[in-house]
Amino acid sequence: MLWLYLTEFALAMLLGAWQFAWPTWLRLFEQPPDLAVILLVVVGLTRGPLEGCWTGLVTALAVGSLGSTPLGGLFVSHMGAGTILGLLGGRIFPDYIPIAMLVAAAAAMLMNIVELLFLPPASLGPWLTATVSQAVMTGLVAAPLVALLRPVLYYLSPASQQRV
Amino acid sequence: MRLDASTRKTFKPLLLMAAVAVIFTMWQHAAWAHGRISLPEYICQTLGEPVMRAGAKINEVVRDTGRSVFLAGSLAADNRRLRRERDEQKTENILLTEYFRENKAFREKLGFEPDQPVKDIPARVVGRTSASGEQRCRIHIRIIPPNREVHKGDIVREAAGLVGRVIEVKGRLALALLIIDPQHGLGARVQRSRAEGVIKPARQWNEGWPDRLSMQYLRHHADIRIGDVIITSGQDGIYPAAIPVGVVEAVDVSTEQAQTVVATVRPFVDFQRLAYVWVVPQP
Repeated sequence: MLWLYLTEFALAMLLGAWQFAWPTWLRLFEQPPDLAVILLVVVGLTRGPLEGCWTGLVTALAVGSLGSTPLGGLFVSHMGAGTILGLLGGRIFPDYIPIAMLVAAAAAMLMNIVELLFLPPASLGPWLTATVSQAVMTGLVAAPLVALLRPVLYYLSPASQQRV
Repeated sequence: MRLDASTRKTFKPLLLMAAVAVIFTMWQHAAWAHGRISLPEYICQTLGEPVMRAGAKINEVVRDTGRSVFLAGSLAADNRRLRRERDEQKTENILLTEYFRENKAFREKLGFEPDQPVKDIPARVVGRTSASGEQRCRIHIRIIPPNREVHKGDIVREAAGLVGRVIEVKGRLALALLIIDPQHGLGARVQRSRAEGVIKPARQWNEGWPDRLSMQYLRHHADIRIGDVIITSGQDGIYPAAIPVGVVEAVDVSTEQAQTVVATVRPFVDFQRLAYVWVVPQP
């Protein structure tokens, strides 16, 4: 079980850093995808609220530290999203990639709205464009990333018969 | 209200994690108040730095490979042109070396101070943040020369022109505020006419031109034309004078009562392909 938590931490660091190093020519309106949200969706929907919350904690820490952003809002949005996705786990089926894509895009957008309350932007127009672009990019990148992450978490799962 | 055993089992770790989050947030606030970073942030940055560097390297390789494949047809012609240009520049270089030696001899005869050794530090761009419209990049300094440190306020530039300035230093990683950031402003002048103004980022979201700058506060009837080169004026106390900034793309003269001149400037630096920069000490 500890390995699974450590792997989730490592994946959060990896995806958080990758998000910042995302190539500029692969961005939509200069926005990279929110890779941490994709990890949250996979872990939350497949592993439950506890691991969803843990993944939220470590992804917020990774994204906040690497981007020099205040952690408060990130913790609330990421841990909240992880817990809610975990509670929704039995109702939404992450086996279907299009559903995972939609959930990732919606989660990215909602988390940006929550973070807006903690760190209001200078003007709403650019923020809205950035949020929508990031949600679209997150949804698109979710397809290959979910397909990659699911087997990794499956092999590390202590109860391998559990559906991942 | 009494909770059953299974709910308590889930609830306790959730509360513990929330407490950890609160502690980390307070730790960060306390560290930032003293101009430092907290230990969890330091650990995350140390772990994330190699990944960001590797990511930047992979991006570079992929981009270069993709470009080579798409432009294969014109590569031979480009190669021939570049060889010709190289030969011309070699000749020019010989001339410039001659001028340099001659100039040095004159300076010595006139009693000018000898040139200072170059203190610029090369750095690689390893990350870019553009959340909420902000335009910043994270740079990694691999080799710091002896007797030289990177400080907040140091100037970041490329061979082509001005990139921005350092706003945060954490070990070998530094955060640079780009000149296209909405919060950024700098004193500039037209190289040809010496007309002075302030360079700010253009409202790109409205105008649809990415990474454009706007030269404002130009004097009434300022002499500025399309194609003029804009350089730093050194009047802002942040940047030294004569660093190339960009070239004027459009000039807009307002016909309102208070006549104003605003110029749109295309930066010399391509911010979409920022890979390597120089960190120059603040004057």
